[in-house]
Amino acid sequence: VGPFRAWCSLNGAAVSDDVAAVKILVVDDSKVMRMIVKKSIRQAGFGTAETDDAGNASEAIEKIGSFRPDLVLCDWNMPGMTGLELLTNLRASGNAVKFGFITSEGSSETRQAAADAGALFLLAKPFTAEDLKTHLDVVLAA
Amino acid sequence: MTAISRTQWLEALASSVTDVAATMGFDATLLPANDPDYGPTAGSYLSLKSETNAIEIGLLSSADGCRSLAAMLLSMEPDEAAALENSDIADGVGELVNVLVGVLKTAVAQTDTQLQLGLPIFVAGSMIPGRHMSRDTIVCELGGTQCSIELHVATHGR
Repeated sequence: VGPFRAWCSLNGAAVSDDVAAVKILVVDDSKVMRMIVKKSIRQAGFGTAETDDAGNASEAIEKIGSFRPDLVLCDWNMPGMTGLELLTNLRASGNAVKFGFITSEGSSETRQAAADAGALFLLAKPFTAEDLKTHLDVVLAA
Repeated sequence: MTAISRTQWLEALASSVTDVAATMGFDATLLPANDPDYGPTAGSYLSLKSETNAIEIGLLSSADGCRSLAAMLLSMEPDEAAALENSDIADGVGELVNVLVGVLKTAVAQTDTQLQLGLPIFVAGSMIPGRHMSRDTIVCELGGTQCSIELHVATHGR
């Protein structure tokens, strides 16, 4: 069992039919991190969720319009527009898509800024798939 | 804000390496820094700066070591790792150092709340710190791959 598989292990998390139609957009400038987050979504029991990804905020805005995700999972530090700026711009334009951060920025100040901007959660790296499941279960059930 | 000493940075860095490894499920072993057979050739650097403190952290290894680190992050088997492109290796090592410095930032947040993360830069060779920066090295094995973690600390703040 590789470290990432161990990292993502969930001890048999089930995939339920009610998440089959969920659409999740993963936004991160790191291709490797996008792969890890999408793999973690599957490991978290949301293997039937439809996922897409974007490498920067501008691409994310396009895909939010075309892919119409139920949830955006976004990095904080990205070249150009940051994740926080992306969320702020979305809310300013009236877009209320559910939004969570997955980031190495785990300080209390960052968490407060994320919440103030309208993020539903902030998951700090490194994280386990079980950590992600905890947030997805709450956010996608709402 | 208070200036963080080299010793404090080193202690927090060593602790952060252990924390990251534990959460991500790989072994981390700190080694003596005088292994004559080990020479890192590439790696990723990331800055962490405020008005009071400024550091750079580098995660370095051999070319094969960088490939192994990226493969470890992606849970790839050794035969799968051979297919990794250089851009994926740079991306993976950059993401590892990004996670490490994020944990380090949180570890020192009570001393300096203004620290800002930079973006990772992958280099062939190693960065030479400026004359107002010190350099310390932690040699370690991460998931069985020998690495150097460099700490550059600005001696006069930012």
